[in-house]
Amino acid sequence: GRALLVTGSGCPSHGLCRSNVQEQTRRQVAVLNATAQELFSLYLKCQGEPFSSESDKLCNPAGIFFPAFRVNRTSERKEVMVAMYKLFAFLNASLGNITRDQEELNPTAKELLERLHNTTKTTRGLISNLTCLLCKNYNIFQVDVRYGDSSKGKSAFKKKQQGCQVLRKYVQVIGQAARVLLPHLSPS
Amino acid sequence: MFSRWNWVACGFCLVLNICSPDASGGLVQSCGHIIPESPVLALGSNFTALCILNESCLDFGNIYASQIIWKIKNRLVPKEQYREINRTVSSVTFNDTSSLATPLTCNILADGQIEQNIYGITVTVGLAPEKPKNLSCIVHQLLRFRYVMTCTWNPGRHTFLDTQFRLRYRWPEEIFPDCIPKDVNNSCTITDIQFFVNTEIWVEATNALGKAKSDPLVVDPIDIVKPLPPQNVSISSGILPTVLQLCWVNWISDAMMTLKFNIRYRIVGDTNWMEVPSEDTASPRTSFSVQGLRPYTEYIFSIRCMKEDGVGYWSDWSEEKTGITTEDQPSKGPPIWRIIDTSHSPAFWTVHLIWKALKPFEANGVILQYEVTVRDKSSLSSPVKKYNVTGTNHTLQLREGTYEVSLIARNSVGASPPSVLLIPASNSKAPVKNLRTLPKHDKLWVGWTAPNSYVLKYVIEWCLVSSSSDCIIEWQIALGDVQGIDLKGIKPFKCYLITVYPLYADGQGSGQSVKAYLKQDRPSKGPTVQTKKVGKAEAVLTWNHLTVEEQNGFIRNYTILYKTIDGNETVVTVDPSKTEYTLSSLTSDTLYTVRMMASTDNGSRTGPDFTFTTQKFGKGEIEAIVVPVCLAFLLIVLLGVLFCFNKRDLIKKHIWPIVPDPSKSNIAQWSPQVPAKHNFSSKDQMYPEGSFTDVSVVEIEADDKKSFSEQDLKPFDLLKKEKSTSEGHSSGIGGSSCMSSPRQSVSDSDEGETTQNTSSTVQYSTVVLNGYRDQTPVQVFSRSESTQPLLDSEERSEDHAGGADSTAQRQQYFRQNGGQDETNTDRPCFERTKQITHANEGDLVGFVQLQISGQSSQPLGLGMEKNTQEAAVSNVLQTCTEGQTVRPETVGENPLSVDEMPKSYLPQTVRQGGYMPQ
Repeated sequence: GRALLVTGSGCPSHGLCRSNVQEQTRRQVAVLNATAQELFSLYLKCQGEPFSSESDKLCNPAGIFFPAFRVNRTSERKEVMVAMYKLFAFLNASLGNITRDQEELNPTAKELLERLHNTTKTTRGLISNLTCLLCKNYNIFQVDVRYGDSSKGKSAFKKKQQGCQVLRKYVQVIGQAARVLLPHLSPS
Repeated sequence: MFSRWNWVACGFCLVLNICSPDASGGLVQSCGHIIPESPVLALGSNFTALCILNESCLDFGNIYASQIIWKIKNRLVPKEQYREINRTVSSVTFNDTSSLATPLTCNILADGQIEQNIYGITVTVGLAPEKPKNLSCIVHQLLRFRYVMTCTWNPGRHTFLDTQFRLRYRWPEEIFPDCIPKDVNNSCTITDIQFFVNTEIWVEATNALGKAKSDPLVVDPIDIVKPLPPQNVSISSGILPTVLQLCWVNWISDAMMTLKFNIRYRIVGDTNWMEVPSEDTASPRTSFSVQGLRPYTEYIFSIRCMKEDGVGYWSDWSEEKTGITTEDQPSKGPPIWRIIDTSHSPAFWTVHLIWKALKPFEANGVILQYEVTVRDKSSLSSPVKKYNVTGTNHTLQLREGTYEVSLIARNSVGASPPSVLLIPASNSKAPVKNLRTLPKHDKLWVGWTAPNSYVLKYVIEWCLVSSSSDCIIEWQIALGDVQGIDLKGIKPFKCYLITVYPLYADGQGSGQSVKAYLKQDRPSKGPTVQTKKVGKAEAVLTWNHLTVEEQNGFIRNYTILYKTIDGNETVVTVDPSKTEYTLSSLTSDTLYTVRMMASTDNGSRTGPDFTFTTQKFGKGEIEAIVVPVCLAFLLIVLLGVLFCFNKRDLIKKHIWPIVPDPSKSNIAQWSPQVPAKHNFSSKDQMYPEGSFTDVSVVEIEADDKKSFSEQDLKPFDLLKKEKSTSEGHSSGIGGSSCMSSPRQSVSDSDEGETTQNTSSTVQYSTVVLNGYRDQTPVQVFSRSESTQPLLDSEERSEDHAGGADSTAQRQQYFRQNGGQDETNTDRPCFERTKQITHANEGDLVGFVQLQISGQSSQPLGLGMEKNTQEAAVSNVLQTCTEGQTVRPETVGENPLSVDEMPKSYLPQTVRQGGYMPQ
């Protein structure tokens, strides 16, 4: 699919796109990076066997779609921002699906659900900030985004496995994103 | 003021129901209605309402718009506000809705004056919401990953209407659900917040009259976080006794928010917090080593945190945790002092060594024991004595001399530096000067001027002065470079005796003392004054000093206030050292009230009133009056005696003239009865021979009174005069009290009786014989001035009497006296004059009395009257003779024989019925 950043010309809520957005974005990525591993571990723990013991095999993300994040520290900031936008738009949708599935599959796993909620919210905020940055700094009002497959209608195992695969990939990519963003979003 | 507009929107509609043509079918129709229906109006705006009548009613009810009247509640709206738009529509206009009330009704006057309601509406008046102001938000951390944001604002004025407030927030491309306050209108809490996103927050207020929106607040919620305080704080002792290490857990990850910290700590029991410098804890951490602590001291710690950049809010202080540092060796020796008791013998001292326990920060641990070392400085050969003591005092018996005492405190780590006290043989060094005190809040500052010599330290002793108990000494040591300290624990209104000793390296100065109060009050009672001595114009007052407990301060003076009952009060100020004062210039014989007042710097108290009366006479005044008077009296008496002595002959002549003894006169020798008289030897002794040389006897006939010359009667007149004033006086004959009896009898006689006279011119007695009533007059002797021998009288007597009757009369006279003499010789009579007072002269005519002069006065003879007073007189006489019965004898009834004649007699003046002594 395609994510529509803005509905018209001009940046939305221009008053909210302040100079601190870059730092906010970096902190958001840092928070996600700091909590991703704990989230993944907690997720595995809450899914029970065989995910807790066979995570490497069951959670291999090779078979799922995950946005490519082919940027590095030398990439242009605009390119990085766009890649980030595609990544977190995907993650936001995927985390939403995972949260929904876990609320169904593990309604008593409060901490996991809370972390999933917080991570999802953070990605929402991150998308908001990236929208602001793309619009304000690069006049990008539209970015093509691809979302993952929906887990609706799948079995519980499949839902768990899909969530596990996404989160494992998320742990890998968020670390890379954090490293990439460090020079680009450091306070100037 | 707007409360009347705050109506309950109770719609009511009073409808005039008129039976329409369809009424028979059961339907009821209104004849009209008002528009607008239930309007909400802005306060102060204008308002117009229309009452529209139904056409159907016009014909049936004969009702038209011109008949419409408007009412607010039950008050008629002035018709000036009506307007008839057409025959079915009437309007009413209000220029200011504040005059409106509900309900507003449309009425009609049917059939002339019958008022009937057509329709009514409820009118609501209020205000549009104001723009909410002062919007602010704070994010509270509830759990590790849970945060809520609470925003507050000022809702503005009261609108009198139902007004909704909504807290709204959004991101650039996303608007979140509104937060609607519950039960309040000025705050709301958002539970779904996201950090690191600029969030626009605002408040909207909405009611029927409009909507208002606050200024938006754009904030990243991470910048308004109040985090939870650090958790699980633990304290551990460090290697050093002055260090404690704190560890804690932060509830916010560094990725989310880096923190800075505040660490505060205090010693247990102390209320003042100390704080670790903020720059030392400005970076993220989970532990910190607090240094510079006291050894072996328990501390309380608490931590708080906030966002590292200082944007946001400090968390609450964490739970307090305690930790104790490890022991260290005592940092100093205990302060030591001594009290020397020489009461038993000046040569041997009982030395009480006393020292203070080290304060915790000095002891640096638990003091296990004290080591006391005593070195005799007077004798180098004397061994050093050591004592281990666990208490804080030690008593030594020492010979008078100079000693050095050192004291060491020891704990588990080590020993303190020694405290050294030199006990010299005498305090011969210079004392401090200018010792003074000054109260400072609850402390008493003691200051002094240092002596010229270098002083190691000072010892300040103080004790509470009491009249009932000994002074319990407290003491404190001050360093030698200070010249004043604050004494703590001093009670107000109590007197303290403060002594300062300077301690030198080689001795000790004598103590200087001062008394002081931390705070003074007026005395608790006034002195009781009383008089020690009261004089005519002065009084000596005494009183006792107030006890030190009663003084409550320094007695600056006593004031004596004294006054008379109606006089002004006089005030005298007396030095406080006095206990006695003399009031002078007092008024004699006056009641004074005196009281006494004791004054301190902070007030006075008056004692009880005391009254005294000054004396009427001064000291010596009575003596000054009495002594001269007595002296004068004595002088007069002495002069009188001298005068009498010098003029004794003349006096004797006048007062005690020599009465010649008739028995020794020639005529006596010549008279035939004379020899019988000489039988009385006693009378011979009493009247020696030759004593009566100048006796003249005049014989007077009773009926021949007129025959006497005036000169002859003169003595009788004088006697009469004397009678009236001579009661109880001596008769002048013999000076005996008994001598007065006959005269007294006479003095009580009637004035009209014949009087006798004993003037100085009378030299001799004159015996006048007079008859009693019908009896033959008795011959009497009458005083005569003649010095001639009584030859003529005798002759004339003989001639006249010649017979036995005359002789018998004379014998009767003498016998009467002699008869009484026998029974009353040793009985003095002192009462007779009084007892016979009641007898009148006439009654006494029949009595015969005789008074004989001699060494003792004796009643010699009594007469008895014949009248009714006889018994009374008899009683009187009985009393006089103490029970002896006196038998009165009348001349005629009891004639006496010659043998019964008196043994002696005196010349007498005899008047009718009696005798008058001379």
